[in-house]
Amino acid sequence: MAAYLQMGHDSENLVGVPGLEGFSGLVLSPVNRSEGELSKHISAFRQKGNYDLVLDPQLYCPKSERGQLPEPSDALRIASIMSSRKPPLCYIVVDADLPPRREIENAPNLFSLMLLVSTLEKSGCPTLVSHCSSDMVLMKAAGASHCASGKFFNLRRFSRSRFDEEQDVGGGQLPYWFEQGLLAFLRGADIARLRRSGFDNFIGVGASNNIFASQILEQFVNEPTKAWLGLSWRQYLAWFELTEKGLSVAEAPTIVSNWLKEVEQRWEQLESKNVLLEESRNNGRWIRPWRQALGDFSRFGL
Amino acid sequence: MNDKPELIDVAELVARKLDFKNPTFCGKGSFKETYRAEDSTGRATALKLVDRTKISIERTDREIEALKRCNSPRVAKILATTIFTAPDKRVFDVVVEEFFDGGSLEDRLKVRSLTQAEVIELVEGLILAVKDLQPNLVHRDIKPANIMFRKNQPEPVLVDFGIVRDLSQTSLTASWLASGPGTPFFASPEQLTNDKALTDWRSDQFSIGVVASLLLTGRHPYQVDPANPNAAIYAVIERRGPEPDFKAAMTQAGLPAIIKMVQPWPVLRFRDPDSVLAAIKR
Repeated sequence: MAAYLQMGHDSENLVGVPGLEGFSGLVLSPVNRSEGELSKHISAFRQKGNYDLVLDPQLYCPKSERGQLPEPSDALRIASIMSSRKPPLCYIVVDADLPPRREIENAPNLFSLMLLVSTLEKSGCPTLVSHCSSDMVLMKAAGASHCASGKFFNLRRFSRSRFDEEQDVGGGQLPYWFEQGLLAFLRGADIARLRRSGFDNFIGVGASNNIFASQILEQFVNEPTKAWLGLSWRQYLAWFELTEKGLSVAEAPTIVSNWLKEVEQRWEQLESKNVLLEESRNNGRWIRPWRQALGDFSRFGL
Repeated sequence: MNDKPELIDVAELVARKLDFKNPTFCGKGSFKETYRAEDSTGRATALKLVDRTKISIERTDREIEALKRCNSPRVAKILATTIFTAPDKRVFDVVVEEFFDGGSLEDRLKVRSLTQAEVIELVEGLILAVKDLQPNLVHRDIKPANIMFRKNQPEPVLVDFGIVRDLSQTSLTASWLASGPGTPFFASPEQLTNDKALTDWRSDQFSIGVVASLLLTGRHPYQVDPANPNAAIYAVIERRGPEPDFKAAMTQAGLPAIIKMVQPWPVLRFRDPDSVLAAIKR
């Protein structure tokens, strides 16, 4: 029951840093590293801590629609086949070709994904759900043993277009604050806007308020022009690790259900006051399908 | 299996070839006749003759060898397999198994029904038998006629591992539609739809659950209409799940484990035989 750090994009320096020690595993791909680099990195990681290392060969690049989960029966069939092999760990990769920072909004697909995770777990096959974003909370509600995410949360989903993002020639990558109270990534201007609009209490809810969050807010006051990209990765990852751990309990479905209800209410309050965030699609519209998926999952009665 | 014998001449020739004595007709199925015969040591055996023109070998040589090596007292020992060509050029697969003189569960049910305690004991015995087949073998045809007993002993023994199967049978469904209710009544959804990727020991678990349901409630767990048991098979194919009445009856009887055994997807059933045994005893 622990978070895994999805490596990539030169994120080796994040392994074992104070505030992120809670990650107990690392996911890295031999495809993206030479044999020599892989050996060197693994040796270095071993010196930093007793990490469970998962090598992701990235053999997934479906050319057809077989991997979709439109019906619960698809998830149950896949889980039936996988569980017959009694694997020590099921590494689940969700291929969702979404734009950066956008969430999966298809409730039936999310419900089926939760069923897949849950039935595997209940049949004795622990799961590691890779490339998670804040939808990790749904996977934990479904009983996932482990969830993984990486520093590039805006590239968090495994998607074929994610590699486009790396080019990023328009002035470098933007920093984002991850906010549990809205289950969304906020720009610096969004934080300022929320405060100006009287929604200061929407900032730093739960594990969003971690040691890196404090450093970011302090920096906003003392050094407002200083870059905070590195801190933004850490603030998100710390939230991820702490929350993943906190949701490794039997009550996770109820906890997440209550969170989502509160989050939706906060978005409704912002809407009613015409407080609009910088990015037009950063509007909380994914929360309703997430609640629907969780509701369907709870009613399924596993 | 109580029709008239048609292969007694063949049985006598086979017995002579194998140095067996006194072949006596026991019963017949669609493509198979069974005879009791004594081997050279006087041990009673079941001599099964299968007409090769009407069937295909369903089991691989590896599986047959595994069955021969299986030393479980709960699984019928396969003593020998061979091929015999009759004078009229018909070719028969010959399977020699241990002979059970205590009859089948089907026979016993003609005399009396079982108590709940006896059903639980039977289910435990069958699950242990399935466990003894692990990890390589799946019975695939568990039903009352294939559950035998030794004389005066309550422990069940699994027989007839479907070593052979009807050639025209692309799936159990097709066979059932063509020939009327039979084995498919006890078959899992994955067997009825011939979904080989899903067929494993959990398919046997489903069949044992159906047998238990039949013994405890008198009906299939997916059966809605008491007068139409065949409709249950369509419900299994469609994976509708066990009926509320059945679930209520099992819950009331303190046997929710039977409900789990007959879930429509393997992943929703018990993960291993020990889990079933633990749940049944609870």
